[in-house]
Amino acid sequence: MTRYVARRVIYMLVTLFLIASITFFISKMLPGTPFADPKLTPQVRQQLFEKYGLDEPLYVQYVKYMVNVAQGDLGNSYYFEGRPVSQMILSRFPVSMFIGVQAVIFGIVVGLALGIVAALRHNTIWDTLAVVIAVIGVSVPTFVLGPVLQYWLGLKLGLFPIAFFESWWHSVLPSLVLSVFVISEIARFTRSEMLEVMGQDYITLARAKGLSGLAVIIRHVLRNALIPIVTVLAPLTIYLVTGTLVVEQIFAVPGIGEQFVTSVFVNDYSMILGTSLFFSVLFILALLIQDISYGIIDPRIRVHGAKE
Amino acid sequence: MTIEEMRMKYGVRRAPGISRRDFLKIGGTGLAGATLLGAVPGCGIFQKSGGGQGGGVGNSIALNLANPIKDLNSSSTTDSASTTILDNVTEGLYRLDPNNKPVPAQAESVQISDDGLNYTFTLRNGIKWSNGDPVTSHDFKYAWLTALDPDTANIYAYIISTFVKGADEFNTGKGSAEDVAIATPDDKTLKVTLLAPSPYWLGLMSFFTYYPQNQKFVEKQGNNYAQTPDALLYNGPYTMTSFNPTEGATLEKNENYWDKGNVDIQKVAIDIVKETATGVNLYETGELDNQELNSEYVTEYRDTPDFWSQTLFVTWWTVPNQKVPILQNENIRRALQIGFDRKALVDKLLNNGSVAATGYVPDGIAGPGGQTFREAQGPVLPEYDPQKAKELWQKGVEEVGENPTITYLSYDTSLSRDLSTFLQSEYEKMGAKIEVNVQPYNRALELQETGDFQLSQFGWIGDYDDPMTFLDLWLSDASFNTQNYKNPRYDELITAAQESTDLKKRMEMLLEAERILVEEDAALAPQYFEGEAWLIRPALQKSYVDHPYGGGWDMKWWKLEG
Repeated sequence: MTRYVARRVIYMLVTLFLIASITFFISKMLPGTPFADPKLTPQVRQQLFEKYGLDEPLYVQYVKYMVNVAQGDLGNSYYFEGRPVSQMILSRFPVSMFIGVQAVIFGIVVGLALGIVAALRHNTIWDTLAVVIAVIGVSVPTFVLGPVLQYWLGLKLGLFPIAFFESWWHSVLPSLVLSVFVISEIARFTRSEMLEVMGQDYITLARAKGLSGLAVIIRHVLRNALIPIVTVLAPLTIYLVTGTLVVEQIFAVPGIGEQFVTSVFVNDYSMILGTSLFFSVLFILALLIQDISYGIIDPRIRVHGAKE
Repeated sequence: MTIEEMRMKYGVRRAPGISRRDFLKIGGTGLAGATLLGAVPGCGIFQKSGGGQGGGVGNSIALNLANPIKDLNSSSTTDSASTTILDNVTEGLYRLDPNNKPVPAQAESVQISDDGLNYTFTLRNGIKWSNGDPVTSHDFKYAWLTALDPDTANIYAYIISTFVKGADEFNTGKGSAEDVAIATPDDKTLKVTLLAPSPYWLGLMSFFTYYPQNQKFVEKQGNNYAQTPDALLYNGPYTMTSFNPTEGATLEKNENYWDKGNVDIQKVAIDIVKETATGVNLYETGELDNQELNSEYVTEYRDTPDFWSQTLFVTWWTVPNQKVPILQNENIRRALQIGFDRKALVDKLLNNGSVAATGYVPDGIAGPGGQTFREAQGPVLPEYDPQKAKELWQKGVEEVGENPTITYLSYDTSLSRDLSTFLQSEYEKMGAKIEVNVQPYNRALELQETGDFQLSQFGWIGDYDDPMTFLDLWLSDASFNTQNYKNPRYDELITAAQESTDLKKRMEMLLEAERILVEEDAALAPQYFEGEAWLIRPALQKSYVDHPYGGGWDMKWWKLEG
């Protein structure tokens, strides 16, 4: 197992190196420069380029950047004068993670319930209802749902705060909006997996041996249905954790998704690169955890080297 | 045998992989536990935003800055969010009063020589920084030289180097700091020599690039300067007690301010809410005391007591690049001026306090005597006339011999897109073939800078209260003139005005110059003078001051009535 993990870590580092290089060159190809001001003259632009080392040849900038990254220095933001990128990322990330994880957990619980009900009551009104709810959840965009909930639940009914992030209660609406997508995905997966598993031979055998319906569900059906959920969970978590721009904009939540998109629009080179690397590390870690979980949940998926 | 008997005989077999089931149990509990545990340190992530508290209570207010605070170092900053804060926690030699006229601030008086070139400022007694150090003339000299230093690469260095003798040479690397004509014979006296007399330079003392900095403090802070509230010194009506570049700041009345008796509002919570809908909702619940409106909301709130609007020193226009053969034709350019409905543009599309342009220099900018420039000049733009536009366009096409498709460069904001689409459809009615080219803001600026466009959307914010801030853009050798406009008579007038000591004659030259630019040469097609529309607490509205240049929100003058 340790050999497996070690090998995966090495792959991870190689992947990160490639990602850093690719995003570096792509960000240099973005039209425009970090300095967008209608009052900028070519002379001042040249002064700015010299100040930030942007007038050096590309390969020199590349080498300098990679050396810094290897030491953990992601440089300073071009947009926010003098602010270290790593500090800005780390200060905003917990917020996005909190909202995202909350959305995922809520989404899983509700999604599982919805999916189980739909599968058990297959071809009845409950099944159809659950599927309809799931499809609506996936179809309504967050930038519609967000302001609608903000207006009705926040302003009109005064149940929730409208914006900012000052208490747990402030996180409810943003998480709710994000969880809708999760609920739909989980519900549909759970339902179809359960339906498939329920038709298998070993389920019939278990029932023949006298296991009660509920026990059958929990011990056999659900466990097998969990695999596709685990597959989807890792990318889903990352997606939500990094904070959809829309939710953070609407609810004025100081998260990392909003910061990232702003940095792309203003050509904040160092912030773009730093955030991309950060996301990559998260995603690769999540995949690693996911693979290890597979091996434990389902012995049919033998992780190479686990036998050792 | 019944199932019951089978069970008895063979025993109930436990399902294999109980360890996995336990894993799931453990895993599930672990996840739930982690979240709960996350909630405990998670309490740390719930901070009070920069402000967030409702205003109008106990003489405190909450404002929406709407943009992140990029740089609080007055000698390098450029963005309006940062300068809004600096304008209230620092103070320059002079400040603009509610009528936008300069009044003594850190300086108590100034002597100007007869030729208008030598200024001698005397600083007030008792002015201090927030760390107890006195504010001295050296603080001003230090800050101004830092702003001019080529290593600082300050976009606004020109606000000093255009006026002060020796400054441009230092900024472009051709001269030294010692040759910049700023002298500090003693701690209370500052002497400056200008390149030419200027009626409006004194008003620029309220511009952030001219604010003082405490050299000892700045050098001690090094790279940390202006990053946190403790890494800044304050000599203005307010001090900053908390600060986050993306979430806002808190300002509190400065008890060491020389004029603190006239400062009414004790505490200002500054938030950053980018989404207009969210900001309006917050205003409705009392959590914000001001909020900018866009066109949809203007219609809704126009007749309520919370509505407030003013015009700014900002003009927007279409600029034709005269390297394009068809745009060299005067009839074509005249058609561009009169071929679109300015009033419809302003009333229907913008609907935010903006007014239709009547010339190039916007309303409100100072003119001769006590008049504004526009009052003295009158309208120099002919009215919207689609029929005449069509005739002129056809005439132009005949003279040039072709009617090519012309591209219109536009920004990728929704307003800019709508505006360029509107112009496209209007111009098509007169026979033009227009293709809209939408670019991200940065890229559009680049294209404008290199002259890589045919027609372009263009806007300019005045830096000071004088028509020169708009007119000098069209000198044939101006760095912003990438539209290939050349008129020797225009250059003569502007250059003479820059050097003139006779203020009356100077204004006449500027009025004449605008006539040449807009009426004679039709060098541009002005669209509108920009305005702004806001929701502002009625208790604040009477004293609300938002300077059209330099300053912005000037909270020293604000009072909460009733």
